[in-house]
Amino acid sequence: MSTSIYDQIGGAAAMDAAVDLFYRKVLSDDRVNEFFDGVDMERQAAKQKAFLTMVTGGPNSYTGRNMRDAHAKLVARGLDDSHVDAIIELLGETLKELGVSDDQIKQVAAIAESVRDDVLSRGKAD
Amino acid sequence: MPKLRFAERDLEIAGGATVLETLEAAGIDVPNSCRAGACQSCLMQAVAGEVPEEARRGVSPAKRELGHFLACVCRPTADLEVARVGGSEAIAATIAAIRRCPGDVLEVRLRGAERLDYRGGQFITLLRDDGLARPYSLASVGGAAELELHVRHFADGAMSGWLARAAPGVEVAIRGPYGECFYVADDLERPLLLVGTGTGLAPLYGIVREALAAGHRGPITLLHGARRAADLYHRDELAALAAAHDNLEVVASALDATGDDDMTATPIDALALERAAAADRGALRVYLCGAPALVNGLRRRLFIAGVPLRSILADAFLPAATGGA
Ligand code: HEM
Ligand code: FES
Repeated sequence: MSTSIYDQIGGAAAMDAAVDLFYRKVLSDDRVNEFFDGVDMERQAAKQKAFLTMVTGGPNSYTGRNMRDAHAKLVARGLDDSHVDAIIELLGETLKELGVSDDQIKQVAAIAESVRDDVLSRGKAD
Repeated sequence: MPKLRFAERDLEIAGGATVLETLEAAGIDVPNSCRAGACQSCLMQAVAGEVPEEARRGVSPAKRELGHFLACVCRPTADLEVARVGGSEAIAATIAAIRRCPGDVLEVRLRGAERLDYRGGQFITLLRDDGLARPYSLASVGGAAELELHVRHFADGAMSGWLARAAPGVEVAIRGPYGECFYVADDLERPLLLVGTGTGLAPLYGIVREALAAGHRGPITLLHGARRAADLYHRDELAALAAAHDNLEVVASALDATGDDDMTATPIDALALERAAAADRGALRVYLCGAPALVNGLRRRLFIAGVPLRSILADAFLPAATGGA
């Protein structure tokens, strides 16, 4: 089995570097920044690190149910496919800046895609 | 097998179990989410014993100094005592002196709380004997005999109105310390930028004096802002500090500054962004204290301008708390 992209790009230390890049993009992007406008930026950044760790295949024990719960309030505020698309785009930009190959970025995007329905509270919960 | 101590209970740590798993097995609830060391939901505090480095990965320097760690990835190899973050008992103290300063600020000095292990810039909760409680930042340097608080006096403020009339010798209690807004001596050369409005100067005054006492050599800029020039307090103290230290620059900003009063009319957020842009952003550490609109707005703008989030320590004074007290 090949190692995860998480390991290939440097594990936890790489996530610490990625989170500032990613979070800065998210806050600067008017398509999605309203969802991240919490006052507690440090907590938000930690959640973004959890997101990055998960989609790069790093250690986590999130389930589809967790993803529904984590985003349920956002769905109530209007979260839809366009926002997921924007997040996946910003994710790709972030990884590119960190030197991750296009091929690997596609794999990461696929992991993000795999929970799209859960993030948007669609279909059946697992 | 190592033991885990929590709230006066000794728990066996089953082979390879984490602190989170051990507490849960004992029926103790700890907030958690990713259970993999990424989201920081399970942050706890070590009281005694060693925390494996693995459980401190990604934890900020200030939190590390406070012994914070991630319970979900902490597998102790020796006995460890832990607590929830922020829990503490009340300590008795006595009002030693109260001085009226410009800007309706009361400088309150407390004695008798030598037991309090704190760092300048952290905050405490001040408790009156009837239970009235308000948070105030510590303007004094950790280890000083007297605690120094800067309290904005509001005519209708429950605590501040009472303090304005309180005589030396009155007994109070304090709980704390809390917060991560303090000086960390991990690099004596890094530039420091301290920005505060109103009594946001209190934590900054503690932080800047701790930095200087620690022998900080990098450039330190302290920006203190107020709407009216007449509301800027502690100007002589700050001028004396700057005169004694070549690496410290103090800039006062007030919207009605005329230019010949040794102040600038440039708004404090513009000054802060200007200074941050000119500094080595990788090394810079920023402290933001005072009005929430300024603190939260500036934190976001500095972050977007390229200052790492970890390097911005912020303490927003919420209106119901320090501001309205
Ligand atoms: C594309 C797939 C996505 C994945 C895999 C994902 C994953 C995650 C994860 C793992 C967390 C942390 C949950 C926790 O531990 O509490 C989280 C939280 C969060 N996500 Fe997502 N996310 C996705 C899409 C989105 C989108 C499109 C938005 C908004 C535009 C968003 C906004 C947030 C916010 C605001 C939080 C923090 C919620 C809180 O404060 O508790 N996410 N996400
Ligand atoms: S539960 Fe997420 S860091 Fe511990």
